[in-house]
Amino acid sequence: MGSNGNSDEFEEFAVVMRPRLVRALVGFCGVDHASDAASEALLYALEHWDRVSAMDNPAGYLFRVGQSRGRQKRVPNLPPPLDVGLPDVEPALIPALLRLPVTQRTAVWLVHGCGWSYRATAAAMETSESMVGNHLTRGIESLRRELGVAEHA
Amino acid sequence: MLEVEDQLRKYGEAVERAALVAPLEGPLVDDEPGPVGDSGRGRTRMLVALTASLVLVVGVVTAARQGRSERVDTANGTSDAQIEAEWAGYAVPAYVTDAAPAGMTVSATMSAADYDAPVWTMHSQQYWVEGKTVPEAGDHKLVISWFVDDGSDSALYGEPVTIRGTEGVFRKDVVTFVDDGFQVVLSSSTFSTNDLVDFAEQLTIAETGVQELEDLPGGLTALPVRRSMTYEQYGATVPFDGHTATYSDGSRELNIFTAPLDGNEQAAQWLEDVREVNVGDRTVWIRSNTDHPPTSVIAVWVEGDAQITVFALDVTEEEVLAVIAASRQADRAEW
Repeated sequence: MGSNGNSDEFEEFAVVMRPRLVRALVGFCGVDHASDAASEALLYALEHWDRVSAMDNPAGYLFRVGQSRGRQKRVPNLPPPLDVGLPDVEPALIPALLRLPVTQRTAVWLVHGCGWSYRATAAAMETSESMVGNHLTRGIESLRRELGVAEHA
Repeated sequence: MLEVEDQLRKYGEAVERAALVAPLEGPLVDDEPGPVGDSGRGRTRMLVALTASLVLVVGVVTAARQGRSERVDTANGTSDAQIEAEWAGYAVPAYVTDAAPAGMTVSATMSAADYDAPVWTMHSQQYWVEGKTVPEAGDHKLVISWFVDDGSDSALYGEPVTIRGTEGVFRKDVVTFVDDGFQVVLSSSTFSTNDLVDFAEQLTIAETGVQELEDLPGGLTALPVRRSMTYEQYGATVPFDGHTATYSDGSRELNIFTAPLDGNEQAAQWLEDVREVNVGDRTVWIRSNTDHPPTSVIAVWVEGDAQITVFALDVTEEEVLAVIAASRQADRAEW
């Protein structure tokens, strides 16, 4: 970090980026580790600020940093919906989400759980937007099937 | 009932709040009070402090997982010590280096012979592998890997996966199943999924508890079963049938693996897109990956009947070559 200007710039970036990263990484590290993984990613951004600040999609890049540095178990621990104050969310949804193949789970979580665009998700997954669409379609179909929800027409 | 997509969105918002609550409550580091939402410099220091804590925890966990945690003073050297190249029943020497990158010390060592079980668990980037065999014939290659099933992961490999290689993205067919406490994965970039299903039906359990094919299809020739660690994200599979020394400075990591050569030029088979460099008398195959963080370097060379692999994260190629130049066989006392 070369100057106070850069430092301030990073801190503004980190305040905005951190919640976004934490939410995305929850799908991989669980609630208990997502915050640490996001901090790892932001520390990387701090150390490589010149490079990260010039990126079109730093969130996708830092998501991969958090994924690779988090080194958590392959299937994260996610709390039941009721434990996070969501009585209207189907309890079977989360176990069904965790049973998805990792590519489908990633696409479903980033697009619907985190509100990321196809483009940002594709960058985070190092794949194409059409592949994200494929994974998403199959993932949502599996979830609907498991929850006994009728397919859309 | 809400649409599945809406349920996921609400759940995402809720777990974000749950994950963020703890770190943002209370004073920031250095006893500097800061309200929730404060965007001052304390936040940066908090991130660094959190990260430092995480690195410490990861180091301890890694050492514990590998079964031993022992510091070795590489600076003292062991020039007068007798090298026990075949100690612990393994005809593979252990290797250490006297030129670890600045600040890096041995954080963990492991020898295959320390484990009585036929398989053991290693944790890499989203992938555990306890054993692997790679039957091949010409361009056809079939990878059979297995690891202890913990009851939670069997769905992960239930579809074809896309793996990024150094020459771009390529598709790889994968079939997985669970049997007798093992999760078994068959994968190939040349055989179809249907072929893999056929192969899977022929698999039987060998005496060692390892799945193997009774009659190898398509003229495949079985190569020796290897214990290996797959760094899937980096397109690298590292055999470690012998010994492993891990160096770390808390954030960067460097591993030296040894494995038997089995009389073949196996080292080259584990690497693609490498270039050859000479380090002293050693011919080294080396490859760097800087496409995405953390950067990785993998280097392999052959010495006697052993192949030695260095796999490093966030370590420069120059540092790895220096490590190799100053690497030497280690005796039991150093382990």
